[in-house]
This record gives sequence, C-alpha cells and structure tokens, in this order.
Amino acid sequence: MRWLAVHLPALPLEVLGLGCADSTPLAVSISRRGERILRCNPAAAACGVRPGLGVGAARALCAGLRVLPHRPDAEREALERLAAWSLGFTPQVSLAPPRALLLEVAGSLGLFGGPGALIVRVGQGLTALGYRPRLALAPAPLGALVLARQGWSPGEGLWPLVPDAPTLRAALGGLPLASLGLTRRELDDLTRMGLRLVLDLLRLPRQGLRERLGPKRMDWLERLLGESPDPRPWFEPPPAYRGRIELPGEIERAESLLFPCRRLLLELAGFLMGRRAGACRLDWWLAHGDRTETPFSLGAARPQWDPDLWLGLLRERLGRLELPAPVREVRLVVTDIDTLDLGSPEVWPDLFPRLAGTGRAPDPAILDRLRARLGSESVRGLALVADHRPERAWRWCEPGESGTGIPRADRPLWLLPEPQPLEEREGRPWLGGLLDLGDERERIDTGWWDDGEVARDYFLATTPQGERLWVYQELKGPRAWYLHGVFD
Amino acid sequence: MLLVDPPWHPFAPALAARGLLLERLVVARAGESAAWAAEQGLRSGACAAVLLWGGRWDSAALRRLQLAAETGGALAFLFRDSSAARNPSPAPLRLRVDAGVASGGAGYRVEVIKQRGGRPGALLSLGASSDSPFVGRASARQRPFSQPHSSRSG
Repeated sequence: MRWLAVHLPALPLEVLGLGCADSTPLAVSISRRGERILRCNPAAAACGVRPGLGVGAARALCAGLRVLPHRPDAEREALERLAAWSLGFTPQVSLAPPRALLLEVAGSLGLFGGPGALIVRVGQGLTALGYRPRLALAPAPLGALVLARQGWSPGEGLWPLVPDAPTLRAALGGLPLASLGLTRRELDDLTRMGLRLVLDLLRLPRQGLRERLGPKRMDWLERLLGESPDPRPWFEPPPAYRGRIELPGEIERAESLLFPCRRLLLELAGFLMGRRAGACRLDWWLAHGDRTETPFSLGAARPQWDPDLWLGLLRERLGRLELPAPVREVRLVVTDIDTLDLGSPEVWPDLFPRLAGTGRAPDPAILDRLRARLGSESVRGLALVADHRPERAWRWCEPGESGTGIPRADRPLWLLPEPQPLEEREGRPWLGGLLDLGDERERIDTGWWDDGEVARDYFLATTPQGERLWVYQELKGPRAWYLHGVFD
Repeated sequence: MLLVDPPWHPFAPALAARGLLLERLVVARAGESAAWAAEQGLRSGACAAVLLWGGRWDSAALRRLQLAAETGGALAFLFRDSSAARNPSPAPLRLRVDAGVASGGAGYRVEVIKQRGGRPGALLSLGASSDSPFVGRASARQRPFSQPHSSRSG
C-alpha cells in the first residue's frame, strides 16, 4: 500500500478566495472566544494578520482586509469535489476531513512514472485548481497525513516520499511530539516525562506506553507506523458533477469569468477522467445576488472531457453573453455523463495537455467551437428529402446526418430562400433583360395532400449575359413568374 | 467542407448529384464572425476546404486566412466582388470569373489574375453544362444580377 496524503491547510480560505487576486488581503474568521481569524492569505499575513488574532485587531493591522465567515459546508463540498477530481489518478480515494484526502496509489505508480513524477503531477493539478496543498507519500495513511501536515518542503518535487515502514519510522521519529496531533492532556503528560520528539516516544517499552496512553491511542500509534492495517472507506463519486465558485468580489465583465470558470473545468476534467467518461452538455449558472440567475449551456457533438476544449467553447460563449448584473457566484452542473471508450490507459496523461506534445490531427471539436460562438442554429448540415417540391427536397439537419432523397443533376446549385417575383415583359420573364426560357419545361404539380400544394412550370432560363437561372410560372391565379434558383 | 455565409441556400439535390457527400458538408451563418469561422475551419485540419462569401477584407485579414489554410493543409475559397480584383491579395491563386461570354452560348470566362509561379493574364473559356465541376464557378453575386465575379484564394 502506498498512500499519497493531500493536506489542504488553506482550504477555509481557498473555498472562498477562488478567483480572487492574491493581492487582496483576505481572511476567514471563526467564533471561538469572540470572532477570531482562522486563516488568512499571504497579502493579509504581510500586514501582520495571523490565525488566532481577534478580528478587530486584524482590521486595525490591515485596513483593506476582507473578513469572511468560516464555511465548513463549503469546505466539505470542495473536499468531495477534489476527491472526485483525484479519481483521475487512482480509483481508491478516501476523504480525511476536514482538510485532507488520501489516495492509495500503489497501482498508479507505474502509469505515472514513479512516485516522484506522480506526486509532482498531483501537486501541479491542485495548484492549477487554485489550491496550495501539502503532500507526502508513505506506506501508511496516518503516517502520510502527519508528514504532509508538516509541509517541510514547500518546493515541488521535494515532497516527502517514504518507501517503507522503517523509513517512515525514522521520518516520523525526527518530528516534534506536537506534530502528532495528540490531545492537550496527552501531550502535557508526555512532555512531563521529558519526551520531546516522536523518536523519544517510540523508544519507550510498548507495554508501559499502552498503560499510559490507553489501548485506543496505542492502536492509533501502530496504524501511524504502518504496523497494523488501517482500512479506509473509499470515496464514491456522485452521479453528477456540481461545481460552485463563490467570487469574493463582484465580476462585471463576462470575459473576466473565464479564469474562475477554468478551475471548475479542470475539476470537472478530473471527475470525468476518474470515470473514464465525457460530457456532451455543460450547464452553467451565473448568480447575481438578488436577481434571477443567468443560465447558459455549452454543447459538444461527442462526449468530451478535455478542459482546454471546453474552455475554448466557454470563451466564445462568454464573448457574446450580456450580463444583466455583476456576478457573485458561478455554478457548473453536468448530469449527463457518457462513458468513453478510451482504449488503453495511455490516454490518462492527456489530462495534462500542456505536458503532452501537440499534433495536428483533425479536430472534431471544430463544430462545437463554431456553435459556441455563432449559436447552434447557425451551424447546420444539409440533407436530402424525398419530395418533388424543390423547397421540400432538402432540409437543414445536424451536421453529419443523412437524408433520404434523390440527387438531381438537373437542379440548380443554389435555391433562393424565397422565390423572387419577376417582372413580365412581352409575355416573358424579365431580369435585366428578357430571359431565354429554352425549349424544356418541367411541370411540378404536387403536394395537394399536405397544404403545400404547388402547380408550376419550371424553366432553365438564360439572361442576356449568359447567367443560368431556374425560374417558374405559377399555373394558377395570375400565372406570375418567379426566380427560384441559380445554377452557377 | 465548410461553407461560410453562402449567398443563397446550397441546394442539396444538386450538390449530391455532383458527388458531394452531404454528411460531410457544414453550412455556417457567421456574419461579422465570418473570417473567424473560416479560420477555425481551416486551422482545425478537419476541413478539406472552406468556402466563404462576402465580408470586408483587408490585407491583414487575407494573410490570416492564407496562413490558416497553410496551417491546416486546407483549401480556402474566398468569393468576392470583382471590384476586389484591383486590390492586392496574398492569395496564391486569384481568378476572375465572368458569366456567359464564351463563344455565343452559356459558359464562363475565367481570367487568372495571379498564380504562384506562373504568369497572370491567362484566359480560359468553360462551357456550361450541368455536369461541370462544382467549383467550376461559384459566384459572389448579390441581387441584382450584374456582372458576377469571384476571386479565389487557396
């Protein structure tokens, strides 16, 4: 068993500050003996704000500080969405609330190029989602969590990678006792015995330790070291993706939504990859506070998961979106999930397209992109229809759809959307000159059964300049002339 | 094949009779975004050819179109009014097509305004027959039907 622990110390802030520029001082407060700062961002920390400080004192230190209330529900939601996202790396993910995830990655190490490469990828992915994680890999879940919480190496690629139980024991041994997260009473008791490091604790005879700490804490210690099994409940992803970003400030320009929306799309990509699935439809809601939400949807002809593809579609869509009011919150809901036939797992790493090479293979997403900008009603295919009436011998259709009808080489390439009335002179139709009607006429006299009755004589007419037109004469009423098509 | 802002409805029975696979044909109504739509199609590598009509074209826009066609390995056909023939264009091939002035009957007169690696000024006369190739002539005419011309870049 190899456990990758993901610890998210700034989660209370990140669930609220997503999409917020780092330069805005931001803090989350909690009611604990008065309103106190729970977490603050680097901009606030630079002013001297720190966890535990009273809100009034914090405001005095930092004039522009935004203080938002702690939202445990939002943290839980975010944690679950990140768990779903992590399924792109391994099917075995476990929640470790309030602020951590555990990924069992023994089966994924080969695929991702070893523990070092995998942990870097997880870290980069989380950073792209707007989180600042602390990571560690160890043979036991609790051990990995304790190491991750230390955050001893902030640099990418320098996360603790512990291969086996003896190394884990050594790694934990060097930590101060306080890092184990013991209760105040336990810690005081052990400190009074003169213990300082975890190492000091592990050196004590087990029997005496068991009597001192109780069987429950002793079991915990054995699981920490990987000496006894520590089964974890696996996270079951929800059937639909529901993402939400609360914007700490109001956004007035639709294009400015692209950045926060990108994080939702990356999260969705992990969710879909974890299920080896794609989506054809993304439903977005922009919340404006008091006003009715602005909904819009993005569609794809085939199931897609690629965040870059969706981002391209989103960019086009936002470009023609009129916002009735500033946006406070963005929600993304994807209910129709289609399993993809991905073939071999080699496609997984494409979750990180920036790392993959770029080819110039045909891009089936072109239709989706056109539709996102022009509107889906403006991008259509043509299909034949079995009908004698020219205007009903074809129809607009979904691109790629087939019709049933008869190709006609004697028909013009172009049909006017509406027949255009022609002047009549000397008993012949006239358009910039008298039209030469030729020798042949075709009678189309049909449709009496469906209200679309036509009775016309069609001619291939030639203008004095040599242009070839398709004209007809009504066989009823005033026997008027119309231009209906153009041959070339 | 992508058609952007064709002047009228492309008539499916005639296109099918000329051997076009309608399932592979997409018609886009793009208006202001015509150049963008054409460029997307050309760059995608998914289109063998993009045909587009109308629009205002300056040399920068034409160069973008040309570049997109080269990037995607696709053919771009731009149909413009004959007045555009006077202005320079980065297109490697420019043709001016007039209707029906061939010897006595219906047909086309095709003048090569520009061709890469060749001399301009060549004249071709094509007879009009219903089985002439689709791109034998497609016009940029708008009503009324006066002196249609097209130039093509590809």
